[in-house]
Amino acid sequence: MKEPEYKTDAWIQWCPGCGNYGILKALRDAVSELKIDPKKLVIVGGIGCSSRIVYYIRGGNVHTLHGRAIPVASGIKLSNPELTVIVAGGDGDILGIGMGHFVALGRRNIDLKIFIHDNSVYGLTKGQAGPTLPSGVKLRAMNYENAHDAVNPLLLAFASGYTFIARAYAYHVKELKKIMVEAIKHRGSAVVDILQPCATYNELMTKDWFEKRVYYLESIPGEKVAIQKMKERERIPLGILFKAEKATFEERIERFDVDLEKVLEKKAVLY
Amino acid sequence: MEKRCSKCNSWLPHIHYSYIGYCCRKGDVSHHEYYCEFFSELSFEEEFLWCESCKVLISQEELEDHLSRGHCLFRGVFVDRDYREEIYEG
Amino acid sequence: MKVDLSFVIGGFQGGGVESAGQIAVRAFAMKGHDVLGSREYHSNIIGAHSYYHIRVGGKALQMPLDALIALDAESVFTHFQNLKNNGILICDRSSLEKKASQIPSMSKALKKRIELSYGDFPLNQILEKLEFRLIALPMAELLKSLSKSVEKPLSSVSRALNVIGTSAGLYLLGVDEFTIRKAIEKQFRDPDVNLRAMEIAIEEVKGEKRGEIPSVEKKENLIVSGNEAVAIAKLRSQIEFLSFYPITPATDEALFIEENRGRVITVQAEDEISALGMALGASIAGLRATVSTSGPGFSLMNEMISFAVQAEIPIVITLWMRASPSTGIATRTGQQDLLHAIFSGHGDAFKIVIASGDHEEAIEDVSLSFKLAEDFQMPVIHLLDKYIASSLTTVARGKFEFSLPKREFKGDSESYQRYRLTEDGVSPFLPLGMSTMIVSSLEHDEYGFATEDPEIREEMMLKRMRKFKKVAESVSKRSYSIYGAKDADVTIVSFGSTKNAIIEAIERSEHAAKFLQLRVLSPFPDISKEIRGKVLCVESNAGQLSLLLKSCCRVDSVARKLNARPIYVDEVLMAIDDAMKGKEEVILSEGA
Repeated sequence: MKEPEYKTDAWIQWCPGCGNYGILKALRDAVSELKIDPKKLVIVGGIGCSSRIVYYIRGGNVHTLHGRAIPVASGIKLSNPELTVIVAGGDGDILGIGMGHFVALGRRNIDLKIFIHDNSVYGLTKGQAGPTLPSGVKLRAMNYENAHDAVNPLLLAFASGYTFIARAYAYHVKELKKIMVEAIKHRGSAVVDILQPCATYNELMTKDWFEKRVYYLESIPGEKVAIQKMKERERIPLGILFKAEKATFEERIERFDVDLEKVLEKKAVLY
Repeated sequence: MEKRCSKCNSWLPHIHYSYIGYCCRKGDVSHHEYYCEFFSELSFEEEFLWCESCKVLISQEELEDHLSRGHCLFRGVFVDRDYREEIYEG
Repeated sequence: MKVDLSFVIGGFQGGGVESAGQIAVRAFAMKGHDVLGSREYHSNIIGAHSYYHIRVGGKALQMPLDALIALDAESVFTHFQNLKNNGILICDRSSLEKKASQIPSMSKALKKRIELSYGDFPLNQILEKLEFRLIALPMAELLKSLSKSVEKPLSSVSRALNVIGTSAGLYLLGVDEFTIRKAIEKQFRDPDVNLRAMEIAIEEVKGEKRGEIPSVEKKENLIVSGNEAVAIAKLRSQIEFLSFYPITPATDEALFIEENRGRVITVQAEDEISALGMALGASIAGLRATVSTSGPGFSLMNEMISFAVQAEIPIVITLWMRASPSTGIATRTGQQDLLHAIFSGHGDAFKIVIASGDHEEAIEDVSLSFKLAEDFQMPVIHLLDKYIASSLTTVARGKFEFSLPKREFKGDSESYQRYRLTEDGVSPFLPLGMSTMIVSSLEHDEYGFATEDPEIREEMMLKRMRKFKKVAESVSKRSYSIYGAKDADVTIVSFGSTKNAIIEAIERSEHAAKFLQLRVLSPFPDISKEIRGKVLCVESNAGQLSLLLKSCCRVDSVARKLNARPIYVDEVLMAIDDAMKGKEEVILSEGA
């Protein structure tokens, strides 16, 4: 295992019990398995506990703004298609403030990988309700019961045009790694909704809570079943729910040779 | 009933110049005082009509009101084919 | 005899004013004269009033008008008060029956003003009392004879009418038939109908007295709008990435680049935040990237600008100012984003702001902007406005003969430090893909790792401050231009598109006047030693430049243009007179 190559010497600041540890290990294992050169690996983070992952894995990483990792990552990938570009952000970052960019990426199908570190809270700002927290729930740091209902990231990704949609769980590192590898290998926009406990602020969705509900799909379901599975809330299906082949944005743009002199001719004053 | 293009059911006035319009029957532009053998009286049956005096589309409900004020009504309006090349971004 | 003309071609939007204006500009350019065609239009698709105000023999607009080619009644009502005595007024005979109150597309305010000054009478009654050379063309009849003499059905009535009116106007102003013909041929793919229209028009006005437009020395010129000039300059500067969100008046620039993009990656973003985000990503990946927008879009970009400063990312943002605040008037001009540009991005967000005075300067400033952005790894805001964006003018072809070398990266990728501390504050730049690194929006150490350490934080602040000081040294020779008298009694200070109006005004003014045109607004140059006599600040906003000026000199007089129209030469002359008389504030109000 070439793991040491992907470690950095930054001190990892996550709370003990944070699901991000599982995600970090899986990510390092995934890129190691794919033998990705750290110089060509780009992790783009937004703002939040999860986005700090850019400091903990060796690559050409970019720590951007809250909700804005996807546009920056898009610019990077379009500029240098040889790079493996992965966006890492929390549910608040990607499905809250960054929602517009999340949907727009689906419409483009750029070859980017979106790994959502989904713990249903805004951890770094001390535990406000996140976009995937159901209504009526009151967590310890919240003043009142949640007045917002949860968005369904999988259905949203499907409606937006993502061509690879998967769900995983942070503490099943081996399965998570496998899904990450598949996502990275996929040609087009891939999203993996990685469910994780927040040991400090989400006392409802704990490790035990997840262990009781998650189960794995045996294979990639057909579209009809996939949508049903995406809707499931009582029991949580994990694995790849949808995968399709569609032209990527890069393939849709035509590049050609242009003669600027001819363009100037059209504007010339004729005598 | 006075016979002229501007009172004919097949004629649409130009969106801006009231003395010129388009004959749907002949597929050509004509002067408002002209008329031909295919003249048929103007009827206001469409859901939306063009009020030439106000330069807007009005609904059937507003028809009475505009007619009573002496406005010129038509079944529709004619726009130059290439107007898109003459406009700017708003 | 020098040709110096100012005239308006007005009509309804969608009705051919655009073609007419282009034909007129081209015709005079073909005779070798300097031409400026300013387009004024509504935020409306079809029907509202739009016009071209054309100046021949100069590069700034002036009043009064020598001629008014009014293709409908609204055009006459809107502009007749600006026409000089014995000026040529060409209109449609049928317009003369109209009253202002009968024109639904005209603004209520304008109707009221006309009623107050002239009463709600038909146009011919109002014009009777004034001394214009009225040439009322019988358009309906002319159109009939045009229909008869062409084989195809007339599907474009408005254009034909415009060509009739404009041809008559150009002919009376003194342009020869041959030149008008050539101008029309260049304008339309299928010019036959319009050439016939021109012949009919000239036949109609043959007996009238004509002006004289001689041919002068023919230069190798192009006719371009500001949007096009900047777009071509960017392509010449070898941009590699453009992302945009459609916004008036920046869209045309992006679309021109997109149409002729070649290998440039162009992306239409879902909003301005994304547009700038993508361009920054491209820049980090090593490409020469740019975005262009207007005031409201620039507001959205603020957070990203701060990111570009903190993370030290080269980027050029072209800001086409328009009438603000908020949505304002999307299709009219203003200079209201000066302070916004300089102080954009929260925190000590040092950036470069360059303002161009006209099309030619805009072309130079494009390549300068990229060079500065890349040399100093910070955002450069290129400040322009809607007036420059939309007006057509003649530009020497040679201005576009340049090329900017592509970005080059040299460096050791082993233990690369993206933010290495250096003497001048600039760290060697390697793009993603050539090395591992961290680019961060958080305060960081030399490797890019986030830090809260007080010493490193201080070092990084000083580093960015050092860099900014270096910018000031680098641009010191081109931060401003001086025109006019050395020993002046009044110094006019301004920036941007007021340039040519002020230059002409100081030449004509009876006072000894000097013009200090600011070209670089951030870092703000030290201009104190250039001040002579009274200081008059001219700008199209509520007082942004004057606010900055007060920190380095006394400001005796301010002339503000607030009505969302460009600045005219005669207004500046009046402002100079007022300043010399000791008036502290004057509001400039010309323009229809």
